[in-house]
Amino acid sequence: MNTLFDLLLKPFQSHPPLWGLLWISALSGLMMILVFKKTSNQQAISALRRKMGSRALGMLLFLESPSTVLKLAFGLIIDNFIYLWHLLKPMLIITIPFIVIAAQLDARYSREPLDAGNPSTATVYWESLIPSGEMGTPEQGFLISPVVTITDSLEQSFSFVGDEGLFVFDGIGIRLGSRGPSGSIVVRGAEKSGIIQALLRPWNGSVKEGVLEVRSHIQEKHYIILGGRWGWFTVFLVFSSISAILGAVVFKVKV
Amino acid sequence: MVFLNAIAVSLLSFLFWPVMVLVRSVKKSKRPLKAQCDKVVILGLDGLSPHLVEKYWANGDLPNLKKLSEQGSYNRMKTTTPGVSPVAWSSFQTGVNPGKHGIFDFLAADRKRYLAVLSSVKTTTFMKKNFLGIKKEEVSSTLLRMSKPFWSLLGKYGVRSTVLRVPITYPPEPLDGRLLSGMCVPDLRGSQGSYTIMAPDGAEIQFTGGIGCSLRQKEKGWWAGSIPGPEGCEPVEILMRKGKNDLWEVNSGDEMIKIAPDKLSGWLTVCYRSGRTKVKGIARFRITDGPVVYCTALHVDPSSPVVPLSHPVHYSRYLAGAVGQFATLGLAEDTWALSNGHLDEKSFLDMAWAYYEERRKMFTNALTNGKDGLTVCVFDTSDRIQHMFWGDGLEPGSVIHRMYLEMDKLVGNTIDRLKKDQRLIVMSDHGFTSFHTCVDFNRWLVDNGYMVLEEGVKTVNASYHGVNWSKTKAYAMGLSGINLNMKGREGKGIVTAEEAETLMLEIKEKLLLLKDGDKDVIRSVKFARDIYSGGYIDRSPDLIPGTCSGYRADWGCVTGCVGSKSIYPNDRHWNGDHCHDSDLVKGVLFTSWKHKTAEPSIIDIAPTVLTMLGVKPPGYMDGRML
Repeated sequence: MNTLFDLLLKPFQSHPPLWGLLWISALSGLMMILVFKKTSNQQAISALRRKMGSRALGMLLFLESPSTVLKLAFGLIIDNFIYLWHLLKPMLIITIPFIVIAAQLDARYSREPLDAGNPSTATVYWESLIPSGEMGTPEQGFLISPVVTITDSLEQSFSFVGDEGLFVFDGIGIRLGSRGPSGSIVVRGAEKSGIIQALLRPWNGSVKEGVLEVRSHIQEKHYIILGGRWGWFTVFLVFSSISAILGAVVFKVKV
Repeated sequence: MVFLNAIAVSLLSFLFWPVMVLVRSVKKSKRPLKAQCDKVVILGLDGLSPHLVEKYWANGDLPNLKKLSEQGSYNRMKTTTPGVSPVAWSSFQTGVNPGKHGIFDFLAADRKRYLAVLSSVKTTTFMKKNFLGIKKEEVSSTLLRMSKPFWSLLGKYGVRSTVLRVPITYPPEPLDGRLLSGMCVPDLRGSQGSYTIMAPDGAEIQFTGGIGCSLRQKEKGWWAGSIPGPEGCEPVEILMRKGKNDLWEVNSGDEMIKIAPDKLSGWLTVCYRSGRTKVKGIARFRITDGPVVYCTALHVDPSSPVVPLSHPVHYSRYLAGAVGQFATLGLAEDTWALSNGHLDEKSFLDMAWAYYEERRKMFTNALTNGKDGLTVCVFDTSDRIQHMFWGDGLEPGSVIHRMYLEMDKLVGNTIDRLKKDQRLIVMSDHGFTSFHTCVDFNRWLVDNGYMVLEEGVKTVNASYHGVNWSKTKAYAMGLSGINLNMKGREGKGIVTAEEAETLMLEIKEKLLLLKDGDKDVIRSVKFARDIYSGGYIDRSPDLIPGTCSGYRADWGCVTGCVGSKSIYPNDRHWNGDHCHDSDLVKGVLFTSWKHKTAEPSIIDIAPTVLTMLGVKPPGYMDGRML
């Protein structure tokens, strides 16, 4: 999945991250609307929409008869549930790629790359024993606070800053951040890998021997659009929706 | 959103309801007469013949109609002269004779140009500037039926009406209530219905009618054919291929449907584009081996009507959602395709019954939602089936017999839905009889020296081309009319007012002597001035010949053709008709109450309904209260 996204984002490597995010959002919206078209009962949705519109018009046409209006309003509410039922299957199907895409975008666009201006904290959870002695010096980046060790819970925490987007501390198996091109993954932790973990948490690196997991807090990234500070999820929702709406018009999808 | 909308409109309805009830009560209190009931339902069964009703009663059939006649009344009802739907239904809705509403036939004469034009609608094209000052071509239709339909009079007194598919209501006129237009609603191409046949180039198929298009083979088993649409719009390409289970997939770009071979499909939306304007139509398809594709006329999409189909304009949208897409064309059942062999009898009947079902649902919807006032619905399935299957026999088990049973069932269901104090009228505009022989009135006029053709011209194929008007005294136009070529009235008229009387008497005398072997052909010849009165009598033909049963004006002379024989056999599938002497084709009238009128007429319905609902019939109406 990482390779696929790397490939999709290749044309945007030299551009600011927002470009890649917009491109993936637009592509996702389009793909989702096409999946919706394929997996939904378009004829039933079309007929139901016509029926719902008709009921609303009927309420205006039979305004003189409250019982008819009530009957139509009740029918409209029932239709609403039927509509939701029609949406259920395609929505369930779309949920799977949606989660994967969201995980990828979260890994690539939610955090600032590490550098001197963005100090972060990391917590290392050891499996059975905290190694004795000094932790040593990171290969890339700097520690900016003393290491706090809690022996009972086998954890060590410290603050750090990266260098050129990366913080590498091989002694304890930490590689955080990314100095790669726009859209490359910012690593925010490490744990034992698995297929599901890799799909849902692509921000994780793999742990070294003796380490249970590593968690770090890296500063969130915001995008300036129309004068506002937008989180990656907002950008994704807005632009994938626009793309889906346009796709629905172009590909004549009844939603 | 929809949920909120529902709540908001419901609340508004409850808020405004007392005001509306008050306004309506004030209006109703002004009614000059005491209402005899709060609701009248009129069920129009076009062409239902009293002869057949009585014949089937003798076999013990039609129990609901029988019961209605016993509990209320049954009569043979006098129709108009001529007894054709546009004339009869116009008289029904206005309560006046044709001289006052101006409809005398399906077609009217453009006397200056000797052209047959539609009698009830005039369509004009004009340029209109939009708000940006850009000129755009607009089309406007005007209803030529004069006088007022009785439901518009009811509206003045707060009595609401629902009027469904009554002929000659296009374009729809405003009323207090809801109206869906019927006969004369055009198709998307502006015609009264032209189907399309698509076949591969070189296929052995005769394009005897409709619009012929070629079908192109594409990759992966797909076939493509282009259906021409309205003027100024690009044709729409329809893609077809045989898919799973032997079903054809038909795709119009907007929608896809599946059709079993040789079966009539459901509705498919076809969207045309003219610049940025979308013009939406609906059509049904049938695919036979070859493949040969039959596509019905392009009906105006009721969900998105390009011309007004109803009043208010969103009533057709409401109906499309409530009962599903439905046929909107005035003459929806494709009798031409059956006559031309492009539809078989089964498919035609499937189509006719599918349209019947659509109308039945609309009627039921109107009965359910219209709590009081007037509900009128006309079913023309009975007319179309009798036109096309009269020759197949009328005995039990025949197509026509089954149709009468179905109509009886409809009457039974309607009675079940009515409350005791509500009144029902079941009626037909005319009856039916056979049509086995054509009478070419123009040929007869030529043979008798009243019409003269140009030197060397033997027959005329279209619109009187080749007629020598400087020597012609009379011409036939429409299903039942002979016009004198009057000086000052016609474009090249030669008959003076002094000559007219003698000429009319002479033509009448000779026509009454017309024989087919030893059989009489003409039963009566009436003069317009004797049978009509009113301000629009000048639109009528001068003489109205009433043919005997079995004889009818031939197909060509209706639009100005002259054939080679004045009498010849009718070999078309259209073998039942009602364009005969009007006394031969009386309609039926059933009422749910007893009345004492011995010979009711179709013009009596309007004053009767007005009186029952408390409105005094206006003095200009010719009909009387039953």
